[in-house]
Amino acid sequence: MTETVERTGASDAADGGRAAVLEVTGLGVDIRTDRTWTGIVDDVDLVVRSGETVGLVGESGSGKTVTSLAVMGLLPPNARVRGTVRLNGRDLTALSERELDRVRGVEMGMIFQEPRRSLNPAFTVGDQVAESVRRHRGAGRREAWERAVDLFDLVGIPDPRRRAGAYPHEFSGGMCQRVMLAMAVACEPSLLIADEPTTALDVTVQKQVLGLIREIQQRLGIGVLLITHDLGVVAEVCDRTAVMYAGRIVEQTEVVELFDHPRHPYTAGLLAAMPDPRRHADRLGVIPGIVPPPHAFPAGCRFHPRCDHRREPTCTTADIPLRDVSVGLPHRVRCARADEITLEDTST
Amino acid sequence: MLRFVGTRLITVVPLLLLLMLLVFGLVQIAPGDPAAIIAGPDASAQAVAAIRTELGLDRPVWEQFVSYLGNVLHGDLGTSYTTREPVTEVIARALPRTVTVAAFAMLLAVLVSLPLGVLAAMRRNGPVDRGLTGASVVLMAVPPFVLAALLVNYFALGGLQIFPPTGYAPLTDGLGAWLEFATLPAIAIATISLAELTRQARGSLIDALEEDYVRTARAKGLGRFWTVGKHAAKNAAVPYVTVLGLNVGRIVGAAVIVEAMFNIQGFGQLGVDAVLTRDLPTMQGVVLVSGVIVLVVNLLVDVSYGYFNPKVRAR
Repeated sequence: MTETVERTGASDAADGGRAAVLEVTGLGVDIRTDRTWTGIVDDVDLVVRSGETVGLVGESGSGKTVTSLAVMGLLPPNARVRGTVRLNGRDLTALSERELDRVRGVEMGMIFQEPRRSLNPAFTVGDQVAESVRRHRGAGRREAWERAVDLFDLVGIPDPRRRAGAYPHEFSGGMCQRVMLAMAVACEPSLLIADEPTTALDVTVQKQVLGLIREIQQRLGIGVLLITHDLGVVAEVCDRTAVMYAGRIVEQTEVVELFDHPRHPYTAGLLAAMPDPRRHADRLGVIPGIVPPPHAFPAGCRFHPRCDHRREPTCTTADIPLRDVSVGLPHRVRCARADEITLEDTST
Repeated sequence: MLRFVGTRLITVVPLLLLLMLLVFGLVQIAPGDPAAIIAGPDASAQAVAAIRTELGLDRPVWEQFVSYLGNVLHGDLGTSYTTREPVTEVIARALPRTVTVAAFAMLLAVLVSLPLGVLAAMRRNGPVDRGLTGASVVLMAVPPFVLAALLVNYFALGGLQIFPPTGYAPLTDGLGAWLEFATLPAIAIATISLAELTRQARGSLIDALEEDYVRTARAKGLGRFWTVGKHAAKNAAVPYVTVLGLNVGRIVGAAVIVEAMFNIQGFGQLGVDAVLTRDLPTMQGVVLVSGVIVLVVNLLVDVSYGYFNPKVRAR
């Protein structure tokens, strides 16, 4: 690509000479319960460029899955979305359900945490992959089946022609995730969303699936948004990452920078909680407390009740914006005291 | 799939034997001496003994059972005590009436319950869903004979005289004639299962729609039609077909009463008359054929599981 790129402060929409595939701006999601709206995600900005993998990390309940479902337009009917989600320049939030059906599975595909449950037990895996090609590409039965067999070959399913006629219950979890991946990339999308794709799999299989996602991504040049709670996975496959806590992004930077110089106390806590073979298990860091539920998000910094560095009223009253703290590599953090505190390297 | 159907068929054989044993035992435990019933109240002891020998009732029980088995397998269900006609012929005359009317009722129940159930599931907890739930409860509470009486009153006697109030024309007289007589009874019979089937269609579709594979189908951009009509429907079919199978028995039960009201002279009527006249061979025949119907329906339901759920096939 020979386009000239203009670098503008915090906006990294067209960084590195690659076109932004996904641009999420000011995304918020509210869920209605008993006639009141509860905000569960807000002020989320994300950019995924073609050929790169962006990690979205956080504990359970941090809003990372809701964010990904909002991008896909797969939220339940009692959800309301704010902000914009641009895929290849088009705002998806403005599309009707019918129009979205021509984007889902074509321009973006998604794989999920439980590959076995995500496949329909009543149809052969080949049919479930071919169906996507038939629906979106208008391919005939035979042609779509051939495409499915090719895709199975691409995702490394042995004996693809025979296995395409098998049912999901005849596959292992790892193989099911390969089928899901084949299905998600069947129409060569520009964006792949992977929601905890390896969480339900054995450790050895995890590596294979992550490697496969990487391989497919490079071969097809697609952008990947990888949702995970596992920083180990981030370290392995992501280029950039955003850390979410209680419905907000608290830190966003390149993976190397995140691991070397975390600027948010929560990120530092997560890093300290990672198992390290050089460190004894009882020195494993633990962040005290739990992620608050959406109806009980505290005022100010949402992490302050669990933070060792909190100071009143700086951290406890006003909303803290996500601000640019780049030194060399782009780096944004949502901490009022980021410049005052030193987060010790806990691994020593 | 063929092998699956084969194994299912084989499991039916012992059940069939058991059924015949039970039907045969019916005579053994029935009060009164069949020979005495045939001979009439004024017959001499000698005449009764002669009839007993003629019927083979003086032979050992196991011998009687073996010869009964042989006869049944040859399509011989004995001779009616009252009309002296072969039971097979009597049943062959009455059964098609009941089976066609019951099948019509079944078809109506399915054709109405499926769209209503889908509608209720798609608009869960909306006014349509709540309205259908209410209507279901009311319908479940109305016995078929009450409904039959109301139907006759409004559509045959008073108000609209569209249908004949009673009687029957076999299908061989033409579809129009048959429909004229079969419609009201079929509606009366269908309603008994309609409410339950609608609830079941709604419930199993709602369960299926909450499964992860439905989210996958939506993520594929399949749209509502294929997501519901293909992915959710095939999985939701299993519990629905199960309940449908269970309802066959209920529909046959309702047919007995409704047939009597419409004077259809069907299979249920035959059974009732046989009991009232203590016509044991006809009773046996009716029970045996009913049992076979239940076995066949269960077999069909079992085989359908194999189609809807490939996991069942593998076992």
